Amino acid sequence: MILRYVLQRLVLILPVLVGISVLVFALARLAPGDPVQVVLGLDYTPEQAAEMRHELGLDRPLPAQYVTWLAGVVRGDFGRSIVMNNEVRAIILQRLPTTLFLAVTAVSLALLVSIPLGIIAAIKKDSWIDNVLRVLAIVAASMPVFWLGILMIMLFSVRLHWFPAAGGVSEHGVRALILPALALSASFAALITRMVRSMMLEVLGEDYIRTARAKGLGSLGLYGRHALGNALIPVITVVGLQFGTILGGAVLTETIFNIPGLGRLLIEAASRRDYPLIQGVVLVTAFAFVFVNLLVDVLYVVVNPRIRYG
Amino acid sequence: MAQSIGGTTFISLEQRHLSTLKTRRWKTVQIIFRNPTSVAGLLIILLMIVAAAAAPLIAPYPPSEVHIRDKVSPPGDTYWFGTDQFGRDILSRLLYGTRISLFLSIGGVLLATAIGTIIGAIAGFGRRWVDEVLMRVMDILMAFPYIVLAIALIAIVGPSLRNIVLVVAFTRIPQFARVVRGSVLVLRDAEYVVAARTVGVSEGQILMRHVLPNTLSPIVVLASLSMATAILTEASMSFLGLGVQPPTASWGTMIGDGRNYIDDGFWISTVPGLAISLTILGFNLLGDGLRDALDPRLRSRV
Repeated sequence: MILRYVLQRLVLILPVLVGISVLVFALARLAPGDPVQVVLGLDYTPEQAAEMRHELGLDRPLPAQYVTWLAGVVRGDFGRSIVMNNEVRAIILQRLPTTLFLAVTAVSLALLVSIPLGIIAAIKKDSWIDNVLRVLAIVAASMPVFWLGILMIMLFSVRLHWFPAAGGVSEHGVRALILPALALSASFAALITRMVRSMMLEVLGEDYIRTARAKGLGSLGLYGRHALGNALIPVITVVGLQFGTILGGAVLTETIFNIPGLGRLLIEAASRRDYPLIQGVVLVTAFAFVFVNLLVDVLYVVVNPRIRYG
Repeated sequence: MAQSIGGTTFISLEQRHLSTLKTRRWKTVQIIFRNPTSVAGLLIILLMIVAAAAAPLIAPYPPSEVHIRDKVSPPGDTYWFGTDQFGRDILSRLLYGTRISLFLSIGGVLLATAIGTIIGAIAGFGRRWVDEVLMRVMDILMAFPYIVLAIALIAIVGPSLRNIVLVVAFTRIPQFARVVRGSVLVLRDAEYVVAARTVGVSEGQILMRHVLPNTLSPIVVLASLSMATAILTEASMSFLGLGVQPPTASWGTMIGDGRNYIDDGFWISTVPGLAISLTILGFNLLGDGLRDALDPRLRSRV
C-alpha cells in the first residue's frame, strides 16, 4: 500500500525534476560571455574558436546539448569546476554533510523547543506565558538569520567566550555548530510554536477530547495520548515545506559563522561565476528539497491512516 | 453589472447592492483600524516611508561622506548612531538605505503581484491543460529555496538595481499565481458568475469585472506578507555582496560592513539590523491584521 503510494508520488515528481534540470541547464546558457573565450583567452583565430566549439559540443542544437548534460547529471557527472580545478561532484560531496548536519540539527532543536512551548501556550491560553511566547514568536520571525547570527557572536563569543566565533567542525568539533544551528532554528521554532498552539486548541475543542475528559481521563493522558498526536500531523507538512527556507538560511548562516558547507560554496561559486559549480549546487539543493517533501508526504500517510485508504 | 434587462426594479436592486457594498467596504476599513495588530504594523511602515521620503532633509551628512578621522566612532552627540569603518555617518546611511530597501522591495512585489495575478487568472480561468502546464511550472519554481535561486540568478545577470527587483519578483510570482488561481477556481462557477454568463457577458468581462475584483483580499494580504520576504531577500543578497553594490547604502550592505567590526564596532551592524527587523515586523503585523480583517479563512492558504 505504502509502496504503491511512494511509486505514485515518484511518477508525479518526475516532471518537476525534469523541469528543475531544464531551468538549471538554461541558467548557464543565459549567462553572458562565450565559454570558448573563457577556455582560449583573448587571443585566438576563428578556426580555433570553431574547433573548440565543436570539441565542447557547443555547435550542436540546444536540446541535444541538454540531453548530453542530463545524461551526465544522472550518472552523477556535473562537469568540472572552472575555478577550483576539480570535479563538481567531488567538491559538493565534500561540503554536503556539513550543511545537512547543520540543517537537521537546526530542525531538531526547533522541534525540541517549540512543541512543548506550543502545548504550554495552548493549555495556558491567554495567560502571561501565552502572551510572552506570542511576542517572542513574532520578534523571532522578523529577525534576519544573518543578523541574529551576528548578535549571537557578539554576545556569546566576543563577550562571554562561550563558543568559538568562527571556524568549522574540523577545528572545534560539534561545538562550532551549536550557535549556527541555534540562529538557524529561531524563526522556524517561532513558526512551529504558533502552529502547535493553534492545532492543539483546535484538537482540544473536538468531540472525542470531550468524551475522553468525560471518561475521567487525567490531563497527562488527555494531552499526551489523545490531543498531541493529532495536533502534530500538520506540523510534519510544515517541516517539509520549510526545509527549503532552512536550506536557504543555511547559506547565510554558513557565511556568518564561516562554516565550509554547501551554502558558502554557492556564494564562492556565484561571486566567481563558476557556472558548472553553481549548476551543481542549485541542482542538488532543489533535488534535496523535493525529496524531503516526498519523504514528508510518505510520513504523513504513515501517521495518518485516514488518507491511506481515502 | 448593469445589464439591460429588467427596468427600474433591477436598477434599484443594483443601487441597493452598491450601497451595501460601500458600507461593507467602510466596515472593512473600520475593522482594520480597530485591530491593534494591523495599526501597529501600519504605524511602523508609515515611519519607514516618512524616513525614506525625508532622508535628504533629515540626514545630518551625505550618506557616502567619509570622515576618516572619526572612523568606527561609537554613537554620540556628533554621530547619533556612530560611524562605520570609513567614518561615514550611520544614521544618514540608514535613512538613505531605507529608500533603497523600500524602493527595491516595493518594485519587486508590485511586479510579482502583476505577473502572478495574470498567470493565476489564466490558469484558473483557462482550459484544463493550460492550468496544468502553468501550475507545474510554478511548482518547479517553488522547488528552489528562494535565496538559492536568487543567488544563482544574480550570479548570471549581475547585481544591478533593476536585476535585484526582477529577481525579488521572480521568487515571489508562484505564490501570487497559486493564491489567485485558487480564488478564481472557486469564483468561476459561483452563482453570480453563472448568472452573468447566462445573460451573455463575455468571458473576458466576467474575468475582469466579476471574478478578479473579488480575489483582491487574498492578493492584498499576500502582498503585505511578501513585502516582508522581499525586504529580507534584498537585505540577504546585499549582505552577501550580490545585491546593492557599495558605496550605495542599503541595510544589507551596512550589516555586511559591520561584520569585521564585531569586537570594537558593534553598532555598525546592530543599527541596520534593527531597521530591517522592525520593517519586516511591520509588514508581518499588517499582513496578519489584514488577513484577520478581510477574510479569516485565508489563514490556511496565505
